[in-house]
Amino acid sequence: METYSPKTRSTRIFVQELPSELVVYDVERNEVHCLNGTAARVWTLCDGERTVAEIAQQLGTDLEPQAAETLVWIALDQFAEKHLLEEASPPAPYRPADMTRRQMVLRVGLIVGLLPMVDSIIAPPAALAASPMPGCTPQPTGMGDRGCTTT
Amino acid sequence: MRSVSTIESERSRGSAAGDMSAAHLDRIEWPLSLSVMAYGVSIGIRTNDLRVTEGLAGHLPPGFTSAEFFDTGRVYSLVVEEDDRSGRHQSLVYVNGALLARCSTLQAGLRAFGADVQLYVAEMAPERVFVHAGVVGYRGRGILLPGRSFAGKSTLVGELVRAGAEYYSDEYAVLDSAGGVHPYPRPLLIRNGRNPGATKHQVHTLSVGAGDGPLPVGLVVMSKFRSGGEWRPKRLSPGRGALALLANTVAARRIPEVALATLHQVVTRAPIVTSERGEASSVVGPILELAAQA
Repeated sequence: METYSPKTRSTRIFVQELPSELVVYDVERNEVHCLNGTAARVWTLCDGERTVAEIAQQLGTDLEPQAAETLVWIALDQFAEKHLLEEASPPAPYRPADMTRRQMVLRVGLIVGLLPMVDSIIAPPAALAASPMPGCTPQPTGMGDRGCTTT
Repeated sequence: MRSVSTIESERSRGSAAGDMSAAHLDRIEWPLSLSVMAYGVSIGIRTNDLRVTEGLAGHLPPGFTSAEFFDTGRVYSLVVEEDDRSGRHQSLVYVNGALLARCSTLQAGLRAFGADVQLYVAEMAPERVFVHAGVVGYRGRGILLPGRSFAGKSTLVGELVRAGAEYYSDEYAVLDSAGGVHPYPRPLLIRNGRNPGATKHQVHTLSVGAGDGPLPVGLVVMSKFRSGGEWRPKRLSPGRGALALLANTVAARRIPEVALATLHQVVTRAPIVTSERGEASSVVGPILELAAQA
């Protein structure tokens, strides 16, 4: 684990930088993720070269090294869960000492403002706006998910 | 004009719907056919019943232009047919030969046609990003009210217009690459009731002048109606705001990179607030106050 150098995905995604966040669009799954400041910093440091310890060191927090590493693991845990790492299967054991995310959060000492967070949505298909049209029966057109729509 | 009973008998023979439709359409005469362009997207339209022309314009995207019929790659066929037995008419809407909707009245057929056309244009427009949202102008800036059907955005837009805001849209925020919002001034329609089966009616008393140019976005309000809901706006971070807007973006899947870049222009300039709300009239004042402060 000490030599594990995580790498975030660089293919089939679009990344939009915001002042202190990142928005990542996963084209494979049509999922969109918002990385808060800490998660965004971890993301940019996950180049496949830096180890977890080095990423923790370069995060720029005032945390003890072990706590900073835990922050990195919390971010990686979410990246892995959302298919944002290059590795199909992160090295086992992925979490240090098989800790749960909750345990890792407790270990950092509940510094909520520092916690990496990844919020996600599924990008809507265009016809998600479709809703029942009074007086009409929608027909299967075989043209994607378009149906009888209303506005 | 062919009868409904004939169509049904063809269907009952088990022919594929598309094949049946194409063969059916080939035998129809089209006294009216034309092409329409809106927001850089072209469609073809043809109908076997000239009564369709009376209501057609009201169901097309605002600012459309028309031309002689040509193959645009997407052709709508509006077919009005009479049932041999009942004598009642029904209207059928086809897209490229495939049956899209079977409607009991001509008006319902036109609504189904219009909804699909507008959604198609919103998805395919080459230089604009369409977000499901009501939009008003206020003090030189746009207020975006994202939400899908039945979120109550038309009602809220109506109340804001009554309070002095300028009408821009009750359906789509049309954004350019700089984040400016353009008018989409179709007639303001307010649903008669909140159930999904309720139809919308034009509110003639609100036939005010629409905005005529792009505005920078000054405020985004993500709100959802709940009876008795309290207005407690919380500000979203730009990233979460981008997610909220993307969840209402028509072409999010087709052009994600363009959509993200466009929304970036909005969320880095305008505050985005979220709250549940009660009746629209109760939040108009607070929303305009927020917009004035932004």
